[in-house]
Parts: sequence; structure tokens; C-alpha cells
Amino acid sequence: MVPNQRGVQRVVTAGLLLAITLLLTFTRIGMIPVPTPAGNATISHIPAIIGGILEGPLVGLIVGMGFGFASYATATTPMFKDPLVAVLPRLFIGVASYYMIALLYKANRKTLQTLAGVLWALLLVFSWQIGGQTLWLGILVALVSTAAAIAAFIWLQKEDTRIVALAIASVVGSFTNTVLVLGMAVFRAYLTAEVALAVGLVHGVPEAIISAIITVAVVATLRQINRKKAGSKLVRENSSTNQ
Amino acid sequence: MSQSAIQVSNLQHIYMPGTPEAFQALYDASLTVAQGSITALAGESGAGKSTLALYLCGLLRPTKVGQVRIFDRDMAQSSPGRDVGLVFQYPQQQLFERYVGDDIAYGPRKMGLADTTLTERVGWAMEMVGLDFEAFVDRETFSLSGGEMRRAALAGVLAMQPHILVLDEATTGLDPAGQSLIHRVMRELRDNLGTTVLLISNDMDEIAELADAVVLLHQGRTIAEGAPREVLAEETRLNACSLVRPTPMRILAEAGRAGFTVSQSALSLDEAEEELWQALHR
Amino acid sequence: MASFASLRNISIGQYHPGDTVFHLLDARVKLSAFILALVVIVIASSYSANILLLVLFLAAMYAARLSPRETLASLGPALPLIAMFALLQLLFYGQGPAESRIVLDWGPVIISTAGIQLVVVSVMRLFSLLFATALLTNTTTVSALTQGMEQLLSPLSRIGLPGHELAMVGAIALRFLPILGEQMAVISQAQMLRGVDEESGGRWRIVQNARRLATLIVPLFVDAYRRSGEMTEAMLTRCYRGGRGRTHLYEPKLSSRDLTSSLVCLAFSGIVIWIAYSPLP
Repeated sequence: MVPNQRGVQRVVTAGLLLAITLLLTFTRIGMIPVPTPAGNATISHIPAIIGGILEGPLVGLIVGMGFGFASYATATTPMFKDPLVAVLPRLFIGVASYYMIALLYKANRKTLQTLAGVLWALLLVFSWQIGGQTLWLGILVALVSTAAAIAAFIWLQKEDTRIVALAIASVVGSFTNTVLVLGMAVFRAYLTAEVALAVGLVHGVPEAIISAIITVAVVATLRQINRKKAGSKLVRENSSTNQ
Repeated sequence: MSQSAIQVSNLQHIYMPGTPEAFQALYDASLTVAQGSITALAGESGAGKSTLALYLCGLLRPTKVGQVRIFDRDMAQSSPGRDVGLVFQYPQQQLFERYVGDDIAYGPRKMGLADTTLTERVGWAMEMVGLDFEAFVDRETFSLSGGEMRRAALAGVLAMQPHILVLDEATTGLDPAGQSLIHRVMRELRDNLGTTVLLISNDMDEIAELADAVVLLHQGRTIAEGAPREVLAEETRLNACSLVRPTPMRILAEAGRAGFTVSQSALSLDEAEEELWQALHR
Repeated sequence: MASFASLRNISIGQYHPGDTVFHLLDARVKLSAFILALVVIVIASSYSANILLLVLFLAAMYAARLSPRETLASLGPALPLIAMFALLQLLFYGQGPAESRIVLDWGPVIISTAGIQLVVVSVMRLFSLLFATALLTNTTTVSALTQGMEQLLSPLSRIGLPGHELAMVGAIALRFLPILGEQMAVISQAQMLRGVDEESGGRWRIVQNARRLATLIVPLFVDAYRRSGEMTEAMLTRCYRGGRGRTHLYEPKLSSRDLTSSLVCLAFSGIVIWIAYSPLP
């Protein structure tokens, strides 16, 4: 074996993931229409997440940087023509995903359930704080996070823990993007904190869900992890009568 | 075989018009494909065969110059129809669902089939291409081997039971067993369902064996159209397209050069053998 | 039908052969000048500075025998979108800074001089950016470009950062961009032939949109990974060992032409920045 093989593989993979990032950004395929005033959610950050998860923090960082430059180059709003908003926060997407997966990939069901519980508690505290300012928004956040917590618990009972870990890592990577970009936008005075919060909820949640779906599908295929629901959705007479 | 299924006349196509990378793929392409026939489309790489295929299935629409008619329907006004099924050269680019069964069911499902009718259709398509239903229906598409992928991609198109099937170099790079399987599928479709098949290929032996008619495309222009026995015998014209005559014809040509008086129009090895046998006993 | 046709048209850096000064310059000089130009374009926000920038770039395009019309034509399908954003910005920008005058006040629509300046300047900036990119990528081959990038990044290797590897990542990305674009076009064609509606499900149907995207993108990733495995093997069998001890077929040396051009670039940048900060509008 050539000692350098892993390194070469990393360089090549980073290049290909970067190519996908550029493709998604420059053709605007990575922009999904979602119901917000801003109009689009991005999925161009997914290669950075996958790079971080499969190839480590450095690849995640490089692909994220490429996404930042591409989003800077294609931006049509002043907010994303600022490198501090468009480029800097993107460096951390893949890095955050890498550390989450490093932490959770070998974790057992109990740990994951505890973690989900802690997250839920934190979200409730957060919604209490928002509720102090805007009551309906606080209640909405509390309801949504409780529903998500229940769904997560049911899911955790059945799914392979590695799949759950992958989903969490990609959600964390996606929210790293949302929070850091909007935080920087507020810091640089492009948005007010309230607007950023609203955009963050309406954009960030679908982005996180979509990136979890795609990341899990890609990594599970590449790593040959068997999913819970195996098999096509075709209706078969004998199988439905037997069960 | 009276009515024509495909009629293309004087078609032109330019990729990326108005940019520095503008490239004209088709200059003057014409062809007629009789209903219920297997027609071969041959020509050097870059002759415009694949571009022509995109027009036939409605992914490209004729604009200014030229006309494409499918069953007497003008394709300038129609959207991609379900009349024409296209199988690309690289099957891994055609499979996109997670499970083989779902991928094959994709088209028919969009056509409105459901439940057991849908399952039967998928089963039929898989049987046609020789994939065992129980063994493959729940396999993940990305775990298939190259040959299996190609068969699954073909099944996905067959499941929609198109009236016209376009195979874009669908047998290139397959092992002989895989090739003869696809040949058998083509014949069965033509003979049992009356499907019209357009076979895009540069394998002259394959064309000689299967095709009812041949069209030669050279640098975006149709340069010959007719029965295989005539078109495939024109050596200089074939050479201009970087093609050669089918093996049986070349064997007879060698025999002719060696001093035998033989006709050089054989399309199969059997015919060539017969011809040589007679020459030897003349 | 535009959606898949546009995938084939991605041409970031199509080399146009020629023998003008721009073609002969060292890639390092062109890259540095490009970065300098980006900085200047971002800094300059007055009318006068942007007009000067455009004039300079048009002159350079002429000298490099490039057609500004063709470069702008590459915007093609994006033009309506850009026009729409410009219009929205113009109508809803508000008054802006205190010294700005209001030209039109009509309910929520306020058109101010600051709004007009923002829109006009952003369009001029966009043109300048396109010309700058064309001047770099249309006159430099991809191999010269990556070698230049690598040489510029090589000081990084001295402090332990992977300069060569970074340049390699960039080169591979540029190399595979059109291939993956083609691949995506074919996947989307195959889907359309089997009945996928080209139009997405609309804004509110997030799950449908996500599913459609997943069927388009997951095969792309899986195929990219297969390619990366093949390419790694190909590089290793051809004895790729990273940056250390790697030589090039041509080792470019900086000539006096390169030095003069650099000085000219610096001088022009200085003038533009000086005008940008002068009291001129």
C-alpha cells in the first residue's frame, strides 16, 4: 500500500464535492423555492456536510469555503456580497458536521435519546424566552419542538443508530450555516434580530430537513448501511395476504 | 410496414447558439422509420446521432429549420410524449430511485397504473430483460453490476410500453450474452407488440443481423438511407463515416480478392457460407 | 426545457486561443491582478469610479481581442432575474443616507437618489466582474491557471499548509464541473422521459420538492464517489505523490513584460481607488 493513498483520495474527493457545490450554486439548482420573503432555501451546503462526515474536517472546510465563494460570486443582494456573511460562516459547516459524527457515530440508543431530550429542554427554554417578547412565536416554537421531539423518539426506537447520528450531524451542519450566516448578517447590520430569527426558522428548518434526507441517502448508500424500511413500495398480492 | 412511425426532414441543431462555444451538431438530417420495423442509425462519433435521438423523444423541439413528426404528430407543438422511450448509453445515469422495483415502476406509476396492475407491469418488464422479479425488486439500484444496471434501465423504459423505442448505443460495451439478450428483446417487441425500434449503433454486424433498414449520418447530414443489403455494401461511403462493412461482407470481399467470383451482399455468416460454398463448387 | 439545457452551458473558463499581451502574461500576474481587480470593484461605489472601471475593462477586452457582447451573452437566462432584483431594490430601497434626495414618493414605493445609485452601480459592478473574469479565464488555459494558483499558494507549504493540495482540489473541481453538469443533464432528461414534471411542485410543497431534488442529487453524489475512487487509483498508478518534489514540464519565469503589466495594473487600481474616495459623484 502506498502510504499516501488516503491523502490522495481526500484531495480527489474534495475536488469532486467542490465541483458539485459549484454546479448547484452556479446553475441555481441548489435553490429550492420555500415560502419566505427571501424566496429560496439552499441545498448547496450539502456537499460540505458530506465532505465533513466522510472525509474529515479539512475537506469539509475546503468545500465549505468553495460554497462561500460561489455564493459570494452569484449573490444578487448586498448582504451576500459581503465576504464576512457569504464566505466566513460557510467554513464551519463541514467542520461542525465532522465533530458531531465523530462524537455520535458509535453512540448507543440511550445516549442519543438523552441527547434528544436535552435538546428538547433547551428548545423549550428558548421558546420561553421568545414567548416573553412575542407570545405567539414562543408558543409556536414550543409546539414545533415538542412535536419534533416526539417524532424523534419514535424514530429512535426503530432506526439504525448510525442513521440517526448521520441525520443529527447533517442537521447540525445545516443549522451552523443558518445561525452563523444570519448572526453575521445581524452583526453587520443587514438584518434586525427579529427578522433574522423569523428567516432562520422558516429557512433553517426546511434546509435542515432536506439536508438530513439527502445526506442520509447518500452516506447510507456509500457506506452500505441497511435502512429500517428495506424494499420497494410495490404492492404484492402474496406478501400482503401472508402478513 | 406501410405507415411511417418517425419522419424527420431537414433537421438542424446548434448547441449554445450565439455564444463563443456555439457548435452545430445537425446540418441536414432526414430519416423515415416504418412502423413496426427495426431501423438502425449509424455514423461516426460526433455525427449527431444522440442529438437526433433527443429530438425524437421530444426533449429538444424543432424550431426554425426542419420538421420532426411522430405518428403524424408535429413535434414542434408537442411536449415529451410517452410514445417514445429512450434508453441512454450509460444506464447508471438513468436509475434514480433507491430500489430497482421502484425505479422500474416510476414511469408506469406516473402514467396512472397502481396496485397489482402496476406490479404486473413491472414484473413483465423485468421478465423481458431477464431480471428475476423476486431477486431484484428490492435490491438497491446502486448495488447492481454494470450489466444488471443496463437491464434495469431498459426495463424502466419498457414498463411504459412505448410505441417507439430508441436505443442509444445500448449494447455498446456489453458482453456477448448481454448483447444477444437486448437483441432478443428488440425482436420480441417488434414481433409481438408491433413496437417500432430505432437502434443507434456503430456495430455493423449487429445492424446487419437485426435491422430492416439503415440510415447513415455523417457530420450532421443524412448521407444514405435504405435496405441494409445496399447501404452496408457501400465501402467508401462507410469508410467516410469511420465505419466498416459487416464481417460477412468483408469475408466475401477477401474471397473476391483471392479470385473467387462471389456476390458481396451477404448479411449473415450463414449467407456468406452459402455463397462461398457455391463459389467453391462452381 | 431551459432547466437541463442550461446545465450543458456552464462554461467557467473557456480558453480562447490568441497571442495578445493578455495571452502571453504569466498566470501568476493575471491571477494577482484579478484578485486586485475584485478588491477595487468591491471598494468602488461612486458613479465616476465605476464608469472609469468599465472603460478600463472595455479597453482591456479590446486589447485581448475578446468580445464584450459575447461575455455579456453568457448571462443569458439570468438576465430577467437580475432585472427583477434591480427593480425591487429600486422600488423598496427607501431613502437611505441623509444626504440622499427623494425622487418619487408613492405610498410604500420611495425612489431616492441613493436607491438609484445602488442599482446603477450594482449593474456596472456586475459587468466589471464579468469582464474581469473573462479576461482571466478566456486568455489562460486551465493548466496554466492551476499551476499559477499552485505557485501563488506555495508559500503556504513552507508554513506547513497544503498549498499544492489546495490547488489540486481546485483543478479537479474545474475539470469535473462540465462532466458532472452533463451527467446531471442526462439524469434529469431520463426523469423527464419517464414522466417527471419539469415544473417543481411550487413554493409550499417542500416535501415534494425535496424528494424530486433527492432523486436528482443522490445519484450525482454516488457517481462522484465512484469517480473519485477510480481517479485516485489512476493517480497512484501514475505515481502521483503530492506536491513534494513534483516538477513541471514548463517552469515559467517572470519577464519584463510581466513586471510592466503588474505596475500598470497597480497604477490603474490606485487611480480608481483615489477617484472612489474623491468628492466626485
